Amino acid sequence: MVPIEHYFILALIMFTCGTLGVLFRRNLLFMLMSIELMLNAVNLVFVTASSFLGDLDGQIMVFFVITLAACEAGIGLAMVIAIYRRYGTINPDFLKVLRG
Amino acid sequence: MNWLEMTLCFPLLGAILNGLILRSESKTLAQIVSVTACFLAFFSALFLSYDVLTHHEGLKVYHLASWIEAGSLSVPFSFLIDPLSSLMLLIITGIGSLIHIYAGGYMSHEKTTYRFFAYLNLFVFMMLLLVTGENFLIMFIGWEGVGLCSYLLISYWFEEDKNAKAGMKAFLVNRIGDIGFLFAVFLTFKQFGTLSFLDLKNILLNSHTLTQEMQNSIALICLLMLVAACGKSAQLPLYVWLPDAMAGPTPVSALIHAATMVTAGVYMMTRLSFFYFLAPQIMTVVAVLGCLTAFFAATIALVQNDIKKVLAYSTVSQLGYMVMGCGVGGFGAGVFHLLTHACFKALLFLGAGSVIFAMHHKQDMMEMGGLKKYLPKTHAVFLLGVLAIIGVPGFSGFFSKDEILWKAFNYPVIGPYLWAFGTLTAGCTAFYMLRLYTLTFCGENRSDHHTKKHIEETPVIMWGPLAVLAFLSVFIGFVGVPAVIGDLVGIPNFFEHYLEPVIKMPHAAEENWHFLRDHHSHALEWTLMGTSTSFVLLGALLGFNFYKRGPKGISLILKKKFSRTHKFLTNKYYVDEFYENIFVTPLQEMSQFLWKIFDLIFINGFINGVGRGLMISSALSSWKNSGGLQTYAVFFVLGCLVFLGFFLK
Amino acid sequence: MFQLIHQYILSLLIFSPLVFCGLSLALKDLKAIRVLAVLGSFVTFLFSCHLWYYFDESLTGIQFVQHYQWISSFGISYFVGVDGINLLLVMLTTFLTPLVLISLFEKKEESTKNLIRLLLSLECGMLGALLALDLVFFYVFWEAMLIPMYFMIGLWGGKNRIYATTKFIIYTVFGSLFMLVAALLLYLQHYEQFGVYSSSLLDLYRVNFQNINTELLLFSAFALAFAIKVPIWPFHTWLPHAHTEAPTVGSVILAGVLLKMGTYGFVRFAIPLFPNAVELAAPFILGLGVFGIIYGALVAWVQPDAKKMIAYSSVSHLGYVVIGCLSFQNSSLNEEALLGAQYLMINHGISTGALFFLIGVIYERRHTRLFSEFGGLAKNMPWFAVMLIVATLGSVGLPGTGGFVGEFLVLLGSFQAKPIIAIVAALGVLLGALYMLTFCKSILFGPITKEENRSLKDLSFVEFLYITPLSLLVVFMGVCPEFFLKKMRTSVHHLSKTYHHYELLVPDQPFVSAVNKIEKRG
Repeated sequence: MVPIEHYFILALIMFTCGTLGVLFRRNLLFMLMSIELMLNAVNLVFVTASSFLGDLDGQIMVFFVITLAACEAGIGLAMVIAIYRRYGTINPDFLKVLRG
Repeated sequence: MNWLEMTLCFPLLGAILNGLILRSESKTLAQIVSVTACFLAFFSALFLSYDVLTHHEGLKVYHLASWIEAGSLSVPFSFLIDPLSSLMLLIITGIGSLIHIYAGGYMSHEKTTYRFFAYLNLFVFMMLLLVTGENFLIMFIGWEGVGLCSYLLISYWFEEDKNAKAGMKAFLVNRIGDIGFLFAVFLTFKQFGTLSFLDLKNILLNSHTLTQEMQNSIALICLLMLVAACGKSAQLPLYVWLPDAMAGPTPVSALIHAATMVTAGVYMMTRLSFFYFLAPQIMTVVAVLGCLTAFFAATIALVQNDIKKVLAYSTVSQLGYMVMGCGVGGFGAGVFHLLTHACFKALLFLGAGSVIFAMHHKQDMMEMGGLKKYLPKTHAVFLLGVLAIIGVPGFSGFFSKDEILWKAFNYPVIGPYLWAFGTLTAGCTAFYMLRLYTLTFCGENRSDHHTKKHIEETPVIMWGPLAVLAFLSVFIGFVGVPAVIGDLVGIPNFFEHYLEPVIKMPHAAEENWHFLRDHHSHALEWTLMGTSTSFVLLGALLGFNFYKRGPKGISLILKKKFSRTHKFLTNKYYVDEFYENIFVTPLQEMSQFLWKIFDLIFINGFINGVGRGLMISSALSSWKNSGGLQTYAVFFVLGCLVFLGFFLK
Repeated sequence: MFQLIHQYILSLLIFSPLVFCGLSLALKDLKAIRVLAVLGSFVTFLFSCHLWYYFDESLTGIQFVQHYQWISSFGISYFVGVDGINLLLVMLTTFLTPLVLISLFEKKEESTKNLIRLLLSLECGMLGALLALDLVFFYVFWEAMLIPMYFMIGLWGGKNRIYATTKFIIYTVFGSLFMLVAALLLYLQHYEQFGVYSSSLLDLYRVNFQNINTELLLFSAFALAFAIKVPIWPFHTWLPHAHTEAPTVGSVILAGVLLKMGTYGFVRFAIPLFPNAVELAAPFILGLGVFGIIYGALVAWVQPDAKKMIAYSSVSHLGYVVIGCLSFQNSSLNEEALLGAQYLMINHGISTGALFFLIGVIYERRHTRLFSEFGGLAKNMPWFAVMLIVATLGSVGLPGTGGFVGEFLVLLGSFQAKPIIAIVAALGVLLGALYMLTFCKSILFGPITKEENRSLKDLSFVEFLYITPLSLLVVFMGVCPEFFLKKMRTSVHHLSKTYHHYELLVPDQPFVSAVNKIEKRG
């Protein structure tokens, strides 16, 4: 049996990749995909913990997260398209409307 | 409705009717309304006085309604009728009625006069409140009310800036006095817990010894009331408004600024005589102040060229006499002079008004002269007025002025000096009155051709009241013939006896005022009377001779010789300029400073500075708000890491 | 029906302007809205007359109480009631609002519709704040008043309106936030002492502070909020701007009622909630009040603009109210002074309201308020002159006008308590006459210097309609002060004597006693 740490390390790697992707990719689409990756890393932790503890709550949570991820992707993609239409770019470096 | 309510009601009704309801363009209607109101008030006052003096032992208090009730303070609308207030009632409504009639003639060239008559009636109402009020506050309503009417009437011809300013000045200077009045009220209330004159009188008359604290407060109250009297009765140093007040129509000057309102201070001091007797030190101040004012104003009057200004300064001077009379303990003498002065000064002012009316509103005596033959009737009554005011024996002014001087002479320590100044003032009075008379009525007419052609005697509506006043000016003095003469010719002194119940000496004060009871030799009194009379005759003679050739001759030589003194006097000792430069201008500059520098720059700058400081600090701290999504995210993640590191340590 | 009205009179009073405001939203026509609004405010005035008539002046407690739980777990309730202290201010509010609405009758602009709606909602806010006896409920209305005022100045104001309105709102809210924090602390203090949550004033009055410093701190926070509202010198700089920029109706309401909220706050909240702290801080506030009297008067004297002058004169007049409210003497408040202060509040509302209306009248005709543009108006506008002089005299405090009664009582009382305060304050009486007469003179008297002024029309019918009641009231308040004083006396006496352990009693069955009273009368 694969020890629990391996799952966690894998989840950690996925989450780090996702975080770095969100932080440093210069493309909103890739950033969305990175967020997806982070969510999946969390899902992995949930499933692992659920299976090891024999508690189904974690798996239920995964379904929630998946649903949420779907919603997020839907809204996010829609916004990306809207942003592209409005500004002609999806590079976040050029989108600084919130400057104080 | 009782007589008192009617007396008060008619003038108020007249004012409301004329000023707010009818506002009629018709001069006749306006005048009829107001004269009727005044006459009705006069008759009601007559019945009221008769009723009270015969049926109620000379004293009756009317409670009409409650006014202010707060905490321990209770001030009702209550009125006191006694010999003093009924005398004042009759002076006000009687002389007031005559002046109302006269005003109809004098104002006949005005477009609309309803405003004038409304103010005049309102004034009468306020003055009645002043003299009948049974407590300080009712008196104060009248006190400020007459100030208001005076303000409105002085600036009646408001289209001229000068008049509006004069009105304002009158109101403001009076307000200084009113503050004194207010504080006297506060102090009285603090010390005695009541504001009713009768209650106070009862408390003070019956107390045999007073604590030191009580005496101090009484002295302070008297001093504060003296400030009030200085404002209203135009004494030093607050007399400056009265000469300027001559900007108003002449009937106003006669009614308000000679006969009635300005005597309110004297009335008030007499009303509070039981206070003043208890403060002998303040009485000395009163006497000296009155004496100085009398002399000071008389010297200014010597050189004025405006006929009304001369009379104005003469009023200040005569008021000084009255105040001096009160100050030396002769309240009766003060009120007696008030009575005679009301008659002859009203006469003089109205006479001057007739002259001005005939001269088409020219007031400079240098442009008059020789009016004797144009205005014979006016001339006759005016001459009687002059003789009355300078105190030619037998005329009313003689009796009252002599009474004051005699009382002053008996005053301990400074008495003789007071008398000396008073006598000197009498001489000056004779001089400037004769100067006025001579310059106006004698010699050649000096006005331009056009004016000269149109001079004609005034209508009966104007000289009629003058005749009545002339009669009074000559004979009213006989109600108060001094004992020394009275014993000789067999006329008792009605007046002194009449006022006796009002002017009562508190027991505690008696030792200070024993000299009032002392008997003095008749020879001394005759000598003094003779001296002052000769001063008067001398002054009159000089005045007549200097000016009988108009402003040329001896007077011109004197003017050149004493040019510096003359200039000093013509400019009224530069008192107005002094006040202007010491009080008004610095205050104005300070206000400008407070507004422009302190308020706008300092306080407002500080407040706005706080706002601006916040804006700057937020601008400075907004550098991190680059708007870059990923920069934010980096900070967010770093923050999370720090927290995690902190908790997982 | 009558019983229902009687029982819910206060709620009817507070919310009927709001209901009429809502109704007016359904109307499109300006004329219809105007009529509806005047009708609505008049109905409100009638309700307040009902209050006046059935108010039992012999009771010290609060009357017409309505008390419903609002957020019961926090002890917050809808709690309204009337006593002698707020009754007259309520009357003033309901009296001024119809007049203000009538004054809009000659406006033709379409935007007036919204101005009318704002005024109605403002009336609701003011009445709510005046009648509230629950701290949270009070705070809600206290802030709610600001919103209509903000828009009124910001949208209908003069040239510099944005600056003025922003300053007004930020300044006032700045103070109120302190009050909010202090209110929360007070609320928690009450919980600590009694173990229940309650924001009812009646409960909060019972809070005792062990530590005087805490009390002082909380008091200062409340006092700051109220001092800005009054405004006490040196927190006054928002007022001249707000007044100058506000439209006439805004100025009237601002000077007439809103400023009184500050002094009312002192009397209702600051003094009975923090009695010890007030006693400690009183000399300081009195000093500011007296300084404000002189300062306001002097600065008013040199203003070139009529509205600014009246704004500074308000600083001066409210100084009297402040010293009247805080004249402590032998561990009680001086009753005459307190009563005088209450009276002066009403009188200031009336006479200053009249002055602002009158300035509005000439502003309508000439579109300027600079003194240098006027002079000699009495010739062509005699009625205007009469009204202006009456209002001026009311403001100067001539005996026979309401101003005298108030000022006299305040000065008399503070002279008993602290003579020096009264002596300095009395200088304001002189300076008051100085600037008011200068004002009168430069508008009414003197030669006509500007050609435009020769053809000015006198007051129109509508202008008469809204100015005359105020002028009459100025005189009436001076001649028959008893009519008003008797309603306040018991409550003021109660407060002045027992503010250390102040209790407002709620009669058990207020309605029964009222019904008995009605039966007795009828």
